[in-house]
Order: sequence, then structure tokens, then C-alpha cells
Amino acid sequence: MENKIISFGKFETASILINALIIKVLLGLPQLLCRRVGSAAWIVSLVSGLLFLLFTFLILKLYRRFENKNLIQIAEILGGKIGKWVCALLILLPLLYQGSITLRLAADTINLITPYRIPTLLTAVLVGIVVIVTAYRGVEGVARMHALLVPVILITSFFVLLASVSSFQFSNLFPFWGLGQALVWKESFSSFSIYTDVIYIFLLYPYVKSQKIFRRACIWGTVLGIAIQSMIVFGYVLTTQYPENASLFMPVYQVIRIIKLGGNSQSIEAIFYPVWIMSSLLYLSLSNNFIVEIIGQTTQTKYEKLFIIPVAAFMFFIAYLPPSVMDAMRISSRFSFTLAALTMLLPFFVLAAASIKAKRRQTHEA
Amino acid sequence: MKRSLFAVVLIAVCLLLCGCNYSHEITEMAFTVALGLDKGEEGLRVSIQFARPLSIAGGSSEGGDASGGSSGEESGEETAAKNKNTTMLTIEAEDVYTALSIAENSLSKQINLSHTKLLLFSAELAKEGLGDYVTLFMKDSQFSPNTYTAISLCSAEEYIRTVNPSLEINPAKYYTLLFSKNNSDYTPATTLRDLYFNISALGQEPVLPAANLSAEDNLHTEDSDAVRGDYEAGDLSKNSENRTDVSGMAVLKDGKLSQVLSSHDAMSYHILTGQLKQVYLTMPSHTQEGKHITLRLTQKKKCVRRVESLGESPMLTASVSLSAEIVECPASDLQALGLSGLNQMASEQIAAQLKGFLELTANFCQADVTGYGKLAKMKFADFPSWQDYNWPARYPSAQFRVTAKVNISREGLVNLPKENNSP
Amino acid sequence: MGVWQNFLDFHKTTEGYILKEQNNHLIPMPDQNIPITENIQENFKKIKEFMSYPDSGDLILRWLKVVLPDRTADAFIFYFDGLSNRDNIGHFVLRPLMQATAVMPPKCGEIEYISQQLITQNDVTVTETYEKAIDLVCFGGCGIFVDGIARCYVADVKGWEKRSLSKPSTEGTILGPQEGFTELIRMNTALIRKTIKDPNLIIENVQIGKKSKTPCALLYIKNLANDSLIAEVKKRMGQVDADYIFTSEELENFLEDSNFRLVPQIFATERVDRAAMEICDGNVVVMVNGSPFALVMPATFFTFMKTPDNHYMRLPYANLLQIVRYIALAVSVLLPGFFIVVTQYHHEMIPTDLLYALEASFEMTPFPTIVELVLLELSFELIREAEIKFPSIGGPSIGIVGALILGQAAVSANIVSPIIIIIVAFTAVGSLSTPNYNLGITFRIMKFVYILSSAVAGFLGFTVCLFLHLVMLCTTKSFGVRFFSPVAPRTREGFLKTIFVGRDYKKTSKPDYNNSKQEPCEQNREPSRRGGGRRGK
Repeated sequence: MENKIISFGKFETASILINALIIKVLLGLPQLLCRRVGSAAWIVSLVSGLLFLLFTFLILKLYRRFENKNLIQIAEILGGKIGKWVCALLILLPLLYQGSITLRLAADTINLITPYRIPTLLTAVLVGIVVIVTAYRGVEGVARMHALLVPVILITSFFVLLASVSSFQFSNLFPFWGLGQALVWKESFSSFSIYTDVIYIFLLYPYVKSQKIFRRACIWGTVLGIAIQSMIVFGYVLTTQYPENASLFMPVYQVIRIIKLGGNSQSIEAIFYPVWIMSSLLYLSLSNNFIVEIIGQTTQTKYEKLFIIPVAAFMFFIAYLPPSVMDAMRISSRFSFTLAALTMLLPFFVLAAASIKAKRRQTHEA
Repeated sequence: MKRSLFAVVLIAVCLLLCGCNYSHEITEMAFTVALGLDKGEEGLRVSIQFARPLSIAGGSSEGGDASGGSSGEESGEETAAKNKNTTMLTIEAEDVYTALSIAENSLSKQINLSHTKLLLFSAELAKEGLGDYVTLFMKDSQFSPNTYTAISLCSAEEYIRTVNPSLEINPAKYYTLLFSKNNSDYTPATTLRDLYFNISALGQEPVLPAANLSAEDNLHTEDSDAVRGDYEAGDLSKNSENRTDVSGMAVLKDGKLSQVLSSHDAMSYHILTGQLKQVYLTMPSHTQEGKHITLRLTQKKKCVRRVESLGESPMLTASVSLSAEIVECPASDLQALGLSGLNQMASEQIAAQLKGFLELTANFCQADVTGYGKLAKMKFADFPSWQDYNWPARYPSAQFRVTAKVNISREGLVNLPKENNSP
Repeated sequence: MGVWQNFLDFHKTTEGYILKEQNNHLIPMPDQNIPITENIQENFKKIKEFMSYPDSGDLILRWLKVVLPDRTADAFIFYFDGLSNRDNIGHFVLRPLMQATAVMPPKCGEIEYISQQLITQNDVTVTETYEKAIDLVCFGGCGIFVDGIARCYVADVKGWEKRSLSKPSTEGTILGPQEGFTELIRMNTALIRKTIKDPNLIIENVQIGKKSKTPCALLYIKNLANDSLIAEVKKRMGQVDADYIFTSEELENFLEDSNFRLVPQIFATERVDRAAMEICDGNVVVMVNGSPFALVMPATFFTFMKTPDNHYMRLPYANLLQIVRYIALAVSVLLPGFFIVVTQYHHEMIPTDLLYALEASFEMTPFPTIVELVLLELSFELIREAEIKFPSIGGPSIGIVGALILGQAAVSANIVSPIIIIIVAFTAVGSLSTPNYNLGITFRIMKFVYILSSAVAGFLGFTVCLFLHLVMLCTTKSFGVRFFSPVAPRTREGFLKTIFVGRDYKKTSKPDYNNSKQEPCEQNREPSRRGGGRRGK
């Protein structure tokens, strides 16, 4: 890795984390939560977000000893080559999985919500072209794009929320506990599948200038991402009511459809398209970049760019294995918890074990 | 460099292979303005009204022949002469989309539903239930959730065919202005979105504006209600080029048409839901027979509604505060009653009207149209217990307590004399 | 018959002419880098050989006798007619040599005597090789050989015809100075020197072009500009492997990071104040003799978008106009594509009233919207090119003809619809409002790509194209600085002040993305809370 040439600041790192959280919202998180807990979806979003924030703090504390090292390097310190390979494989799984699912959902939902019907394959090809070209430009290009576009996405989200205020009905927040208090708490703790993309934190570290900047960026990115996520879910619950909101596909898009700017103005849901497409392109480009980088780092090859097209092709293949997008979503929900647990626990264990080993070595040397 | 060039060429070739097959010129589209659904003999009778942009934009005038459906030719030429900015097509088919595809087959252009302003359901069809149709339209990304909906007491086809806007050239604007009801409170404004969310909600039943045709010789001078402004659609005593009439509201219960209420009921609905813009209250004069006291009422504060108690017979209260301005008042009445007396008189009348309306909805319609259920929902901790309470079954036995406070704040540009200083 | 016969005979002789291959292009040129001899005849012979005399008709060789203290020596001068100032040669070279009355001080050799006491011209170079002497004479000097002295004295007597100072032709402003650079490098450097009266301003002379030997100057402030930046610029200039370079635009092609990028990576300016501001910001400026454009590096997107107006206007107006420029740039590249998206794919976005008006106007035209748009855009590009190339007298006629043809006649004939004219006009106005010509051209070309991608896949194609465009821009570098600095990467200092115009009355804070040095006086100043000092990237 050319760490000296490429370095990100707080803004880029935080933008990457925010986008990884926002894309979940755009993909259908509010609808999913409403289906699970009814009108208490915003509580689940908030509580699980706070739990995730605690988790982030914990991870950052464990990371103190390993400046500018990504998880694979730490696994190598812990377990040598075998540790490196195992860790790499275990990180690749969620990355590939999330990338494929997002690719499929992005392509299909763009098709579904646009009034014209271009073939799904054309959508996927266009997305693929972007992913491949961006991967050739390197992770730096993607990170700068995040810094440029995530503020635009955030501003659009705020605009959508503000514009939909006139449709808010506070009675939609009730009953307060939705489908039941016990269920709400249970879902709050088990909704970690939302935060699978925390894996990026562990891959971004070598590119960040310093530990202090990394800590601040992670905290700010997480806080802002959770805040925006919760606000959008909150806005969704206020605008729509249970049980209808549990069946609305692409919830943010549905909220935008409802916005009426008055007079003879027409529908503005088309502003959702570029935001959604940009967000998914950023996410997919980053996934592809990191997958290629992990492969390059693990195999210790200089020609990692050769893997770009095969990885993209493999992601396409996996994405289009399920016969329909509903099947893809079903498969996604089936494995999401497992992969989320893997994504959360793996770094935790690796970092904890590596910290203990480093501490022992230190005391031994002392 | 060579690789980049190769990539650029490859991308360009990929894009050019697709061509512009998926684009549609505006001139290839037929834009619908209104869609009417009637119960047909064997299926569904779908009436589609298209706009004629060339006529609307002042382009070359085309022949005035309306491409009518299988009925309604008796006013074909007349309507066409008046309504050359639109054209209509009526198809009978099994369901809406089959009808639309048959219609598309018979047209030269592709039907585009994204600018539909009005979805009109006939009363006959509404009695069978609208839930499926509403869900169908909400699922289609072409329909905007802000499309206005209404129920036609006559057939939807006849209503749409008879529409003859006299103050607009653009029919879409006509429907938008008419059904958004920005300047009148005698009809509710219901969009597809409102209908979709309320049709299956436990906390509120949807209401839709009622549309009808006025008979030309319909002058009910003996109907004192109609003269006072309290009438159902079609009963209005008016004489106009445009025979269509939108007034009052249709109440749905469980997605089916339950009752049709009058314009004053709609006014009460607006007051209770805090959507009142401006309405005129006419009261008979106490001192002079044949004279009236007219107040202009506006709602500065939303109505405060509460669910005092639940149980078998929920206790529901409403406290309304309206601001009034004297439009017409004989001096003798002002002298006799004074402003406070007028306030009290108006308050009592409003309170009685509102209570009557609520009792009507409970006893007659058995549908909670004002949304007390949403307030009652707040008293429950979770959804299952709310569902178990079964609000739609409890509402008919609800009791109401309504207080109204009308405050006359202005007398208008001409101050009325307090003493009898007539010249 | 005689004339006709002559014509036929001439035609016969020219008919059979064939452009033969040149086989002697590998004949080595004589080595000029040899020491000068003391023998005047030898020197004369060499000079005639090297300077191709008498083939070069403008080379003047003049014999004279130089009066020295103990002898009178033969000498000759050589110079180019038209390049040198004859009066200066006469007054300050010939007369002192021929009518020498100075007294030679003791222990002073003849070489120093001639250069320091006889020749009174203010700039005299004493050379030991023929090559150096010839180079200086080719640039307006007058070379003097004296018998018995193995040196050549070259007096700087430049005196060719040049353009006087005038307003900049491409970067007009309403307020502020109206001086623009000229083709003469020394005049340009003098203009900079008089603007920046800082002794730390360094103007290094560099020569570019093996044959053209074009003088260039590298300008920077020694204790401000980043050392590695200066070294990199020098390195790239040293690597220029071309025979002839005459203008800064040609040099730009050699210096920039990539010739095939979508945007320029070096900023060219004609304005003295702008070049001076960039030097004071820690950037490096390169000037080339023969071109009125100075090259500034590194250059970011915001360098191209700024105008000197930002500093001469009041803050609110400057910021408002800056916002207008950003909007203009966005309109110039995105509006046609967006129009295609909305009218071909997303009809629901158009207000219903407008939709009907559009349909009525499109109904009469024979071509699809995309074809109309592309045709009109191409026509407009043709008109622009014609207007630039056409003499100024005929220029306005092109505009009138274009407007009449495109605007009135095409619409009346129902070939294009009026709305397309409006779109094309807005796009054109937007691109004309772009402050920098090079950047404007880039986006003018890109708009066709946007039109194509929008036509293929609607908003998806538009967004994909926009994304790829931004990726390319984000990864573009100019001497190590990213194109979108300080937005992406986000640097701390001057972020908003770079995008907009800040309250920097004292001009104390510099952009930090070029890693310039801190001025000594600022080291003692405490950094203000809002970042008045400079911090690293």
C-alpha cells in the first residue's frame, strides 16, 4: 500500500462511514423495522445505533496499540500467515455478500421505481462499468468522491425530511411500543445486521493520517450516520402509519412521492434517483476496491489491479444467482444476522487477542 | 493509454448498442387528466380523459369530435364543441390495467398516467369496496400519491364527459383547483395517499368529495337547507354552463361507501379536523323577520379534541375556537344582542352543528371520519392491545361533548352603528 | 502568344516536380561549443560558417579597428539587423571602441579593459565559446571579436519591434488593473517585479527548445514556495525534449501531468495582477518569451473558477458572482443532459402546464428531441469558432446571421422547437460565463457525453456519467495537488475561503494545499481561532 501518497482526513473517513449507514436506509431499513416492531421503529433505530456507538468506542480503544494497521495486518501479527489468510477470508465473505446484495437491489430497484423500463442487465452493466473504472482509479478516488457527494446526499435527505414535515402526524408514533415492548428491546439488540459495514473501519485505518484523526472520524461518522438514519426512520414513521408502512417498498422514495410543494408543481421523486444511484455507486466502488486490496494484500502481489474485473464479474454472478429480487431479499434477511455477528465479533476477538499478545510481549520484554 | 482508449471505445459501443430505445418523446405520449371507474355490465368500465396539448397551448385547432365510448353520444358534439381541450375514451374490461392496455391499443400514442389529476369512483362501485383499487393505484409508480380522488354519485363516465371548465383552458388545472379546495370548505380534499392510509386504518375512516351532475331545471327553492348552503352534490340550485357539481362528502367504512353527507357536514368535518379556511355562517335575525346575520368564520387555532375515557362507550370531547367577522347584521340585532350576544348565538349554533355531525357519524355512518381513533390509539401501549380494543366497533356507541367559542373580532370596513342613528 | 507560351513552359517545369526524400538529415551540425581563438581571421571564418553567412541576409558583419593603449587591433562586430538597436550599437559599442580615450589602469588586462572601460553598454557578457556568443547574438546581442583576445564580448542591445502593454484579451474585469502581459519576457518579468517588490522574488532564467533556445523564466518567492514544487517544475522543464517551442501553450503540454485528462492542470493567465497573486500564494509561475500567457502551477478547480474580480469587489457582490459562476458552469455542462432526461424519460417531473406547452411545440418538428439538441449545439459551436477566426469587422455579422438562422428561421420553419433554442442559449451563456477558457472548452465537450448518456439511459445514464466525470476529476493531479483541493481532499485551512471569497483583508492566510512555507513574520504571530495562520494539509 502506498500509504505515504494516499492519505485521508477526517472528512473522507467520516463520509465513508456515513454513506455505509445511509445506504441501508435507502435500501429499505425503515420498512424493515416497521415490519418488525410497528410504530416503534424509530426507537429500535435509535437504541441499536447507540449500542453500535458503544461498540465503536470499544473497538477504537482496542485499536490504540495498532496504529495504521488494518485488521489483516493485525491478524498476521496474531496468527502469522494462517491468521492473515483466515481473517482475510472471513472479511471477504461479508464484503462480497453485501456488495452482491446491494448490486442486485440497486439495479432492480432503480428499474422498479423509474417510470421507464430499461433492462435490468443494462442497469447492472452501467453500474459495473462505474465500479470497474473507479476501482482502477484506486481507493483514493472513491474516498474523494465520498467527500464530494456525501454532503450532497445529506443535504437532499434533510430537504426531504423538511419538505415532508407538513405530512407528519404525531399519532403515527403511537402506540408507543409498537408491536410490544419486549419485542422492541429484542429487536434493538438484534438489529446489528444494519451495521455490517462497520468492517470498513478496519480497512480504512492504514489510509488515515493519524490515530487521533481516525478516532475522531469514526466517532463523528458513526454519530452522524446514526443520527441521520434515526431521523429518516423517525420521519418515515411520522409520515406513514402502521401497518401500511410495513409494506411500502423503498420507503424513502415513498416519502418523497408524498411531498407536495404546492401549486402546480409536479412530483419531485426523480431527485431520489441520482441520490440513490450515487450512494449505491459509492458503496459498490468502495466494496470492490477493498476486496481487491484484501486479495492483493493477502497474496502479496503487486498486480492487484488485475483482480478488479474478475472480482466485479464474481460479484455480478453472485448477485444474479437468485431468480428474483424478492428471493435476493429473502436470502439477505436469512444470512444477515450471521454475517453481522461475524463482522462485529471477528474484529473484536482479533483486536482483543492481539492486544493481549502485544501487552504480554511488552511485559515480557520489560 | 491504449487501455484507457480501449475502455472508452468499449463503453461507447455498449451504450450505442442500446440506442435510445427506452426513451419516449413527449409527442408519443397521451397524458391522462382524469380516470373514472364505473361498475360495468360484466366487469369494470374505465373512462379515460386525455388532454389535447395542441388545443390547450393554442396550437392548430383540430376537429371537435370526441372519441367517445359506447355511450353518451347525445351531447357528443355539444360537449366536444365546449370541451375541445380534452378527449375521452371509455373501455369496459375485466380490470383497470386490461382496460388501459385495450385503450392503448386503440390509440396512436402511449398512455402516460403520471399527470392524472383525478381518480373518480362511481358510488355503485364504491359500495362494493375501493380497497383493492386504491392499493392497485398506489403500487403503480406512475400514479402520484397526491392525485385527487372523488366519488361520483352519477356515473363517473357521465361526470367526466360533462365537465366543461369555463374559467380554465387547461383541464388539469381545473381539476387541481376544484378538488384541492383551497378556497372552499364544503368539500374535503382527499388524495390517493390519504385514501390508501385511511382505508385500512383503525383510527380513521376516509372521506371523499362527492361529485354529481346538476339537472338544468334543478331549482329547489322550497328546500331551505339547499338555500342555506347545506346540500348534497347535485341538489344545488344553480344555473351554469358547467353542470357538474362537487359538494358534500362520501364516507367510507371498511373501504365501502357508507353514506353521503352534505356540505355543512363537510364544513363541520373541516372545523373538527382543523382544516377550516373560511366559511360563512348565516343565522336568522332575532329582531327582523326575513333578515339574516352573516358571519365570516376562520379557524386560527386547531380544534382541541380529546378522548376523555375509553371503555364500552368512549367519551369524546371537542373544543373549537373560531374567529369571526361580521359580514351582515341588522343594526337592531347588534343593538339587542350586542357583540357578546352574537358570539354566544354563533357559538351555540356551531356547537350544535358539530355535535350533530359527530352523532351523525357515530349513529348513522358508524364511521370515525374525524380521526378520534388516532387520539385513542395514543392511550394504548402497543398495537395488539389497540387492535383488541376494536375501535371501529366502539365508535358508534361513543358520546360527545362539544364546546365552541366564536369570537367576533372585526366588523368589517364599515362599522355598524351601536344606536339607531338612521337618517 | 508569348505570355501563353511562357505559362505553358513554366507549367511543364513544375509538372514533373517530385518532393524527394531527404537523405542528408543525419549530417552532423558543426560543433559550436569550442573555445574562441585569438586569431581574428579564424574567428571570422568560424562565425561565417556557424551563422551561414552570406546566406542569412540579415546578419551584419562589420570590421573595425579598436584602439588599445599599446596597439590598435583589428576587430569585427556581428549582429542581426532588426533584432538589435542600431543606435545603441553605434553609441555604446562602436564609438567607444573606435575612439577609445580611456586610460588602462595598471595590472589590468586587455580583456577587462575592453569590457569594463571601453564598451559603455550596460549589459556586456564575456564568453569563451562560440556557442554562447552566437546564442546571445541570436537574442538581440551584438558580438565583438578583437584580434589577439580569445574572447567574444556580447553587448545586450535588443531593439526589436514589440507590442505595447494592453488590456488582457481573455480575462477582462471591470475593476482593478487593466495590464496584460506581452510577448517580451523581460517586460513581463519587469511587470511582476514592479508588482511584487519583495527581494525574495526569484526570477530564474531557463532555456527551452534545442534549436529555438526560447528563453523562459521561472518565478517564485523563495521563502514561500515549496522547494519540492520548484524542483519538480525545473525537472519537468529540463526534461522537455523538443527542438522548437515558441509559446507557453506548447510548453504547457510538456509540463502538465497528463495530456489526456479531461481538464487542464496548469492555469494560464494573461493578467499581471493574477499572476502576482498566485506567486504570493506560494505557487510557481513560468513565463515563455513569445507568449503573453503565464503558466501557474499547481492549479485546482477553484483556481480556474476564481477571477481577480473577487478581490476588487465588495464581499457580498463577489460571493454572489462566484455563486453565479458555479451555477453557470453546472448549467453549461448539465443542462442539456438534464433536459433530455426530463423530456425523454421522466415526464412526471415537468409541471403539467409546461408539459402541454412542450408537447405542442414538439408536435410540429420533424426530428427527435435529441437530434434537435445535438444539431443546435453543434451549430452553436460552429458559430463560436467562426466568430473567433473571422476578422473583427465581420465578427458581429456571424453572430447576427447565426442568431437569425438559428433563432428565427429554424423555429419559423418548424425545424427546431423554441424550447431547444432556449436550452442551447442558456448552455452557451453558461459556458461563456466560465472564467477560464480552457476549463470552459472541457465542459463544452463533456456536455455532449452527458447528452449521449442521458439519451441512452435517462437519469441512470446521467448519474453514471456524472459519477465517472467526478471520479476522473477527483483523481486528477496538478503537481501533486488534487484537482478538487481543498474540498476533496478536505483541508482545514481556507476551505470556505477558497470556494467563496473570504474576509482576508490582510492576505495573511494562504491556501494550504500547496504546502507553501510559512513566512518568517508569521512564525511569531499567534494563530487566530478561526485559522488566520496556515497549517499543513
